[in-house]
Amino acid sequence: MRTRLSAVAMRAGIVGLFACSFAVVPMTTGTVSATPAHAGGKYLVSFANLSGAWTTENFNPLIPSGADDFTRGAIYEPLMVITQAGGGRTYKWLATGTRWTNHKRTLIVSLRHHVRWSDGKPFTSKDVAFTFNYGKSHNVDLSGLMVSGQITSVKPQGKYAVRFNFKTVDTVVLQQLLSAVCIIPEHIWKNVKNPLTFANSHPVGTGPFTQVRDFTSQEYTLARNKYYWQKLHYAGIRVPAFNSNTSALASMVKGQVDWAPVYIPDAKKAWVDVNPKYYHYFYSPPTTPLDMMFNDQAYPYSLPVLRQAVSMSIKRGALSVKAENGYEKPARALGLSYLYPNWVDHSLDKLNNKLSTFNPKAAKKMLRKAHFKWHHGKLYDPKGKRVSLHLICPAGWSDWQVQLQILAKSLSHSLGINATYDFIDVNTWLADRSSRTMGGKYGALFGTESSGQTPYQYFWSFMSKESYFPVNGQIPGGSWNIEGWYNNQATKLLRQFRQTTNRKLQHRIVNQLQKIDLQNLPVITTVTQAQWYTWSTQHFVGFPTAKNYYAYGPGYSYPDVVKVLTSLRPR
Amino acid sequence: MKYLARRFGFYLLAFWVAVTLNFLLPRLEPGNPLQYLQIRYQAQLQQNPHLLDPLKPVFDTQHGNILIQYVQYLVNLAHLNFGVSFSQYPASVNTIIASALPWSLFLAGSSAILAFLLGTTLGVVVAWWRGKPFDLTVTPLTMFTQSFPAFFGAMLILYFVGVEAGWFPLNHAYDYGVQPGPYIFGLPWSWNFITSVFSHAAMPVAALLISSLGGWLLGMRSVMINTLSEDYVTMAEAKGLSTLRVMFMYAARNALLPQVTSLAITLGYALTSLVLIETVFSYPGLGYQLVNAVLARDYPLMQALFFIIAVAMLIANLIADLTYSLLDPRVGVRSGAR
Repeated sequence: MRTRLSAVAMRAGIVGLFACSFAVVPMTTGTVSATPAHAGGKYLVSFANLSGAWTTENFNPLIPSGADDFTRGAIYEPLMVITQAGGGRTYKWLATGTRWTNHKRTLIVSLRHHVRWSDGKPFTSKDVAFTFNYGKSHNVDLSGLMVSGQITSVKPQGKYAVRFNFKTVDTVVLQQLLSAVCIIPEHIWKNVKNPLTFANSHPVGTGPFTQVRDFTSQEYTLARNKYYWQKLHYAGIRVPAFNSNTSALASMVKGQVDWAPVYIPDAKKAWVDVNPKYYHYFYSPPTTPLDMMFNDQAYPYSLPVLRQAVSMSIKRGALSVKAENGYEKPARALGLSYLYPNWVDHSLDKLNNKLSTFNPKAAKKMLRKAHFKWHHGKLYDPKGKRVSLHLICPAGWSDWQVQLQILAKSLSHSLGINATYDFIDVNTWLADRSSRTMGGKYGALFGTESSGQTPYQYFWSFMSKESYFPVNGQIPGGSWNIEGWYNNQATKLLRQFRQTTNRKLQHRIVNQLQKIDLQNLPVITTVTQAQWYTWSTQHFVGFPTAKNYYAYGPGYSYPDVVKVLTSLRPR
Repeated sequence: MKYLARRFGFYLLAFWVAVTLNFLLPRLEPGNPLQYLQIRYQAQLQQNPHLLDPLKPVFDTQHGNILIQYVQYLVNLAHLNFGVSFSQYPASVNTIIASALPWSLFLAGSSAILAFLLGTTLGVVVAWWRGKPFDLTVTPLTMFTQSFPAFFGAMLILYFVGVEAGWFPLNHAYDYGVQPGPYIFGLPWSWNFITSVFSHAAMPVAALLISSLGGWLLGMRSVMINTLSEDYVTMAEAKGLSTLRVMFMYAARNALLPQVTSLAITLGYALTSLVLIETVFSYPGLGYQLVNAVLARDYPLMQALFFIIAVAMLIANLIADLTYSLLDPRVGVRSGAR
């Protein structure tokens, strides 16, 4: 027994030596890149998620899971592409127009003619009505408007128009209704009993790239829809799977990926300089800001003057440069300023500047006037209690961690607040957020506000009584209003806003909301949010650029992605 | 026989502990898959807060009596039914594993066997000429490459060999579009496919190799040195046999036993060392899936993968135990007599 084993082992050892030296010699196929076939720009190589893991062909647009990188956008399309990018734009897509009637209780959406599904069947108003009604009956309503009951019924009106009947007058829902939903074909989905377990391996959509080809767990192709209603300039999209920055970046610098949502710490050096002629990135589009949020119901953070003083005691420039590589720009105290420049009320510039500028001396003066006191440089509230603050963020979110450190340091230095920080488990942090407990009474954490077509959603998400929920309470409509602040006047103004289509009146309302925001500062802005977006023009041109930001850049942005896909041209 | 029964009893107990821990650990961990999705789709949710609403009822599974859940879990396990993946919903866990397992076995198996053969052979050689220049350079060198973690070596290889030199493909298991070709005995035999698989495996295997070579070399070297001082080796040399013959047929043959034992164990452990390697090279194996599963709090997939790893380790140890008792009867006798 022993003899045989070692003799075999030895023989194998010699073979092994050969095999090994063989493995070290580069083979001819090894020098060929992993994705060579887009020569001439035939196929766009791109992925929209860095957690690429799929095993089965799952192109169900109603459940965000599986191989869903381009399902929403390349296969299924919206009625219109409404984006906040580039100062806000609307592109007519499957729908060509909207009209309010019945005292703004009914919206009539007219549809594009001669659109076909990828199986050749015509696209009509029945499909649109079906999509919304199916969403309600099967609880897969991406608009949220059917399930909430805001839309009471959806009916086809002739072949190319759809009637949406509303419970109350609500003019701010257009983006949700037209842009968030993926229109699905009635003739396929009427047979789908349970959309949650439906893998949709052979998707039928109206989108530009609907044909699934060569599906493997490491890559798949979405090829051209031959019935597409616009001219297409290339054959399809190839989607490779990556689950780490390292792996993705290695392929990107070798020119194997055309478009990717990847964060690169020193993007200029590690990405652009590799091939400056073709490689680009744009991480800093206008966005709503990242906010520091206190529990605004807890004294002394319930005092607007303290929140204003805090805003004047943080160095937003340092947060941007030191924590975010300058990718996220310093925010203005008025969070509206970047995403909605056309809505800014410039009569408030002076106040906005004052609250955005680092000036602890003035901040202290304001606090002193409001009966705050200092003993040995430590801040005490008017009731004589030490002012403390505990900042939390998820451990491992390294840029936020640096922000917390800078914030805590500058608040204790410039104001004498007893500021501490802690990096906690991400799930505990999320739980703290959604229950508004924030890890303690004086906790503060980071978050963002909603953003929509107009500033309505933005202000609604942190100033309205409708978004407010008490500590440990139930969250209405998403995870907004974490700081727990509302104001009756703001609530009334917001209600007024959504009941009118008069732009002038809406502007007047937003001007008043801005004033309330600055006077109360429910949340403290820090920096703008980044979007990780890199592209190479080696094979394709026409990507959104800083100068021409016609749609959001990252491929996961639905519905912007379909606008980008149809705007690209092979070089 | 008594020895074997005892060993099997021990492994059954260990198996039960592993299975139970596998059930408990994910439930002790804070968070749930829905919260992970909230982070992954953060940007989209800002524009469309209702994106995840359809999945809420599906993922809300952590309710109910824990004992009933445990029994249910054991029943499912007995049927090898691991349920449906959360992160790749609605794909079943079994499909995911079926597609990932062959790649991991290939990667782990080929690198472990290569490391064993190369390391052991080198160990024999350096032990024979111990203290000579070859020993003095190779031994410390392999110790050095072994001392840094496998993924670090992997990243260096990815950068220098893959990106800078461009010798090998950077990721995945084979070139996209290459057809596996005719299947014979359940294995693909297209020449293009095979060369593609080998060139894609080169860098991951090399990374695993350099991090494990040192152990094999050192292990063999120390046993060899003992064996070399045995009388029968001196005798063989005195007979005037060739160096190679004495080195391999007399000394190495007898020093090999502990190495064979470690090989079995290594094969079991190999799956764990793959996790980071597969991530660096986006290699579509179990490690790649495990990283995604853990990040996504995909409990069903996680449980299945940990189960596989636990079973692989137990089996590896069991094989080592059995071969040991077969190869060296004293093991069984002594344990049995105790």
